[in-house]
Amino acid sequence: MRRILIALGVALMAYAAVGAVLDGVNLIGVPLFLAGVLILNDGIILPLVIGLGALVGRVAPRAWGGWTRAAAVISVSVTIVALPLVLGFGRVADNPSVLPGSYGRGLLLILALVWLVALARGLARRGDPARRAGVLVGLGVGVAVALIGQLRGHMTAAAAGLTPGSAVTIAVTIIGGALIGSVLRYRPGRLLSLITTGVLAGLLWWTVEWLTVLPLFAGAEVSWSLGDAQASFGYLVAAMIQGGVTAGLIAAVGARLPVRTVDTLVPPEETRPRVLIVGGGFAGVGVARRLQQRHSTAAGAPEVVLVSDSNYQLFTPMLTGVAAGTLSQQHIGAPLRAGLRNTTIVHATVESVDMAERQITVQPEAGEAVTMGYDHLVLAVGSVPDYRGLPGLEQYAFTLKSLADATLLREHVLRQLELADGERDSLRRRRLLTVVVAGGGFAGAELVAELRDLVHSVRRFFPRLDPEELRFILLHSQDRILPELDERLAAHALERLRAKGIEVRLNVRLTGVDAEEASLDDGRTIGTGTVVWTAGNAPSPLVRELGFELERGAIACDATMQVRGRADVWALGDCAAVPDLAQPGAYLPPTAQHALREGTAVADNILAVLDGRAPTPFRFRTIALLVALGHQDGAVQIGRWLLSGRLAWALWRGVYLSKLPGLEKRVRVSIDWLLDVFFPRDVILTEPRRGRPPRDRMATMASVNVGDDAR
Amino acid sequence: MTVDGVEQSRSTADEGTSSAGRRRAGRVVAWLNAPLPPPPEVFRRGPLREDAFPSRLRTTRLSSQLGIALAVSFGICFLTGLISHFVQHPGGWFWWPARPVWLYQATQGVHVATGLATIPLLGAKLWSVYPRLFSWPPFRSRAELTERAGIALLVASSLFLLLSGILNVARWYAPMPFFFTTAHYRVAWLAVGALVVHIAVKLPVIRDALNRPVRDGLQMSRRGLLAAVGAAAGVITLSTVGQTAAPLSPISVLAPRRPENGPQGLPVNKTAASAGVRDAILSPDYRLVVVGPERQVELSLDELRALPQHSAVLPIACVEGWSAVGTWSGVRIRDLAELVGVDPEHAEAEVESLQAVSRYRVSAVSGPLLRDPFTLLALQLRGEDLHPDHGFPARLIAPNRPGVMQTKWVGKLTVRDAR
Repeated sequence: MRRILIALGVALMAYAAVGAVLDGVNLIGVPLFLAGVLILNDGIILPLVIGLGALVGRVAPRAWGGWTRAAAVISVSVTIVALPLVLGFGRVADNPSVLPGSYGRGLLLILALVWLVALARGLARRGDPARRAGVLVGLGVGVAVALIGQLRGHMTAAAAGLTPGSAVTIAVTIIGGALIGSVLRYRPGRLLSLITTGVLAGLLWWTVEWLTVLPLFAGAEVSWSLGDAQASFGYLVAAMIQGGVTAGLIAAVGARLPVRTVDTLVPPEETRPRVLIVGGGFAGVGVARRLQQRHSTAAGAPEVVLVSDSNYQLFTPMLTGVAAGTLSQQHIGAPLRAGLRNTTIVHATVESVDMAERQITVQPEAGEAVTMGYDHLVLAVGSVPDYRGLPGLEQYAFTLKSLADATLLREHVLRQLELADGERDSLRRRRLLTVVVAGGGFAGAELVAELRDLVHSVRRFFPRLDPEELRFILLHSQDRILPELDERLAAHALERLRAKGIEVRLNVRLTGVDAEEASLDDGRTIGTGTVVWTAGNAPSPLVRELGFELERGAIACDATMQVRGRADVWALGDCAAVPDLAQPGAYLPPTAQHALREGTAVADNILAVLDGRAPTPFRFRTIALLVALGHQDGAVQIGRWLLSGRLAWALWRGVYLSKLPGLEKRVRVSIDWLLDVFFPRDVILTEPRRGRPPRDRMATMASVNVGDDAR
Repeated sequence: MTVDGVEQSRSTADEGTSSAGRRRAGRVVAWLNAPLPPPPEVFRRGPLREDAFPSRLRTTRLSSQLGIALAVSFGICFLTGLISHFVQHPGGWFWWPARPVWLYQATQGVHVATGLATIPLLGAKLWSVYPRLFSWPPFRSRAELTERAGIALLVASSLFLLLSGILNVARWYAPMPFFFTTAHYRVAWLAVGALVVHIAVKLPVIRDALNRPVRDGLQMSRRGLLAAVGAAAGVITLSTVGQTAAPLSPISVLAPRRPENGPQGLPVNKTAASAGVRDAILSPDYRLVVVGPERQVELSLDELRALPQHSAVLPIACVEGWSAVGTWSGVRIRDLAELVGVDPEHAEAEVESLQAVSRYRVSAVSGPLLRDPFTLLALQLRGEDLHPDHGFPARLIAPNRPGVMQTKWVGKLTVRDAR
């Protein structure tokens, strides 16, 4: 069979060639064109399309990926067909029946409709049942409005039947209804704001439909002029009423939607596997978000439960901003309940894990302990400061792992200024005015620079203080700071810190701290009341309690992040030792960059295992290293590309602002930064006389901090 | 796969030929399949790298399914294209009926619509196999090299057909350094030949890929992609098919023609001015010369109008894919045949335009068409004299026939006895 086919095919090709010669086909032009289209397609169009696909993958929200891709496929195809028509080289002067249309407008119209549909569908798909309900209600209202419009048209204009023009109007009105519904989201007790949003959405849609799409279809000019607006004023009123009615109906429907209750804490139903995530930092939230995105709508999707001791995700890279008083503390935390709508959030600490029974017992802040079953357990419990057993650190040193830490540090530094302002004893005053930061990594370098800026920003309120007496000391145990960074860049950063008046002491270690001084391993002591420890973190002690095999104190797992010997337990982030496939023998660094991507990979792997497929090993290489060095200064390393100064600082702010979860927090942080340009930092002390709370080990464990290291 | 294919052809040789021939064939196969040294690794850069194309959506299954869809659409285009070719080059074994009157309108509409809808299909298919362009090493044996050359030919000729088709529909001839009609026709044979070879070579792979269940990719499933490709084809069809399906014309915003757009509500392909016939057709000396085997008649326009007039509702269906229906009235060709003493039941005719130079100035009207009462020398369209661009003073209009053969500005009709 196959050989007959091959022979037949070859014969057909030979017939084509012979026939071409006999027909007098242009034997130069045709091969030229053949080669040309091949090169055009393989060399230009396909690479462009693949690039476009990659761009869509990066830019579009994950849950929309499929729909944006579909829209892109349609757009590219239609554009290829339309391009020769749009260019219109085929037009001839004496024959207006050739290419009579306005093809540029036609193409734009098709593209607009395609992307509107993709947008509506993406909005409907993303997230929760409330959104879907909104789209359905909006669709219904759109249909009703279109029908009413048709009936009115029949009564007034006596137009019989469905004309093409009215078909377009109906279609656009219905699409608009769905879009209006998709942007409205029901929240209990917010009827008025919902209706306001609905009316505004109606107004917006009126500009799209009556001032843009329909004129385009009718072949008229899109002018957005006052005259056009006046002509369709009636439709504006109708559209606003439509938006308001949609909102009202959504409120009525939304109030009846099932609300997630605590009942979900009982062991999982047989049909829906439960993924239980411990930890609400970058890693844990990364897993939950990815699971939610990939399976929010599918039946049989896993139920996702996230246990965290804090009800927000802390954006650790900006903690120094809180410590330095540039950012308000709430602004760098994203409420878990807002970001993970299809995930059950359990605000509690972990008591015990029973891997044989697949159960975990958690202790809420008040009330009885709760036991929950799981099908897959994800451990992302993060790290805690590691004092290496040095005397006095637990009691006297500050750290920077939580919002409380940052606020405490800020208030402590400001309180030292208050105390120093009235202090006559110069020795004691200098002790109050000396800040020591141990650890010249990213956190330490950023923090010492920021604290210096804080103090210098508020110095004007303490006119009795001598600026010469302010001391900022950075201790580092190696011969250069920022060891992760390129040597030249690190040297540059060191220079900048020193230029700011910060004493950077290299090759020196902290050996102990008491209430009055810090002692160093070179035998010297520094009189200070403020020591901040950023020189070491260790995986949360919880990992030891649970009895996992450890690797450098972290949970040992393979490159798929499956815990060794456990197919249903996964570990990632700071608490896990994930082998680095790029460098055998090494482990992935405990940074937010990694934790986020590990989260995505673990979620994909869990879904793969649930589907009966094999999990994939995780590969990721650090994209960029960014460090802010106080006021409008920083250092950035992207691959081999080094950058410092104001541009690096702006890049730091831009990158981290874009990574901050949620638009609201981005706006708040931007405003904080903006205000900081014009006003001095605040010196309010909210708890001026209270000391630091004791940091005993149990308390540390109970507050398993799931925030990962600053980078 | 190549190796498979060649092994198959070796077994062909084994079965039928003499032992000497078998040995020679064996040597050829061995030479073809001999492993070639791999190229230096230095060149393995850019897209030639391993894992240069990370999309998990590209699977053999996807390629196979797209391939089947393409085979169907290419098959449709090839058959409808052949019909169009043979209708325009009659003779031999090909027989084309006079009824239904819309048959050619339908086949050519399907040809162009299918071709346009194939664009996303071919695009997706080429996307799905694009990494194979950069497979490493580029070829292991001469046999593999031959197969890849064959695939290059298939891809190039497929792209050629679609692109030249799009350009022709848009009447943009400048980028094509050849005469469209013959080149499109011959390259179609080339593509179909290469396609048959390709299917034969890949048959086991296709069968295997379609029988084995696979898991879908991440962001967009295989079905999602197929649906998107289908939707793209649908959007293209809806936005262009109105050029022949009049009810869809209002939503076909990309239709190169609108059935109602033109003089007397009908599109025009070649105007009287561009054909250079204005003086001849508007001259009062115009005569239609009807030539029979024995005698010849010259008719002025008024004499034509005095002959019995008949009407027919017939489409003009252009090879470019558009069509429009009009009510034509004029003199039956069969009446004109009788006028010069030929029995229309057994006659054939040649219709000649007043155009001085044109590939299509003469067209033949054969048996079934000549007999047909709908085959007219039309003088009027929609109750008015023909517009000069529609062939004033007289044009041929016959059922089930491409527009280029509905000769305009007819000056001479030669009728022969076909017995």
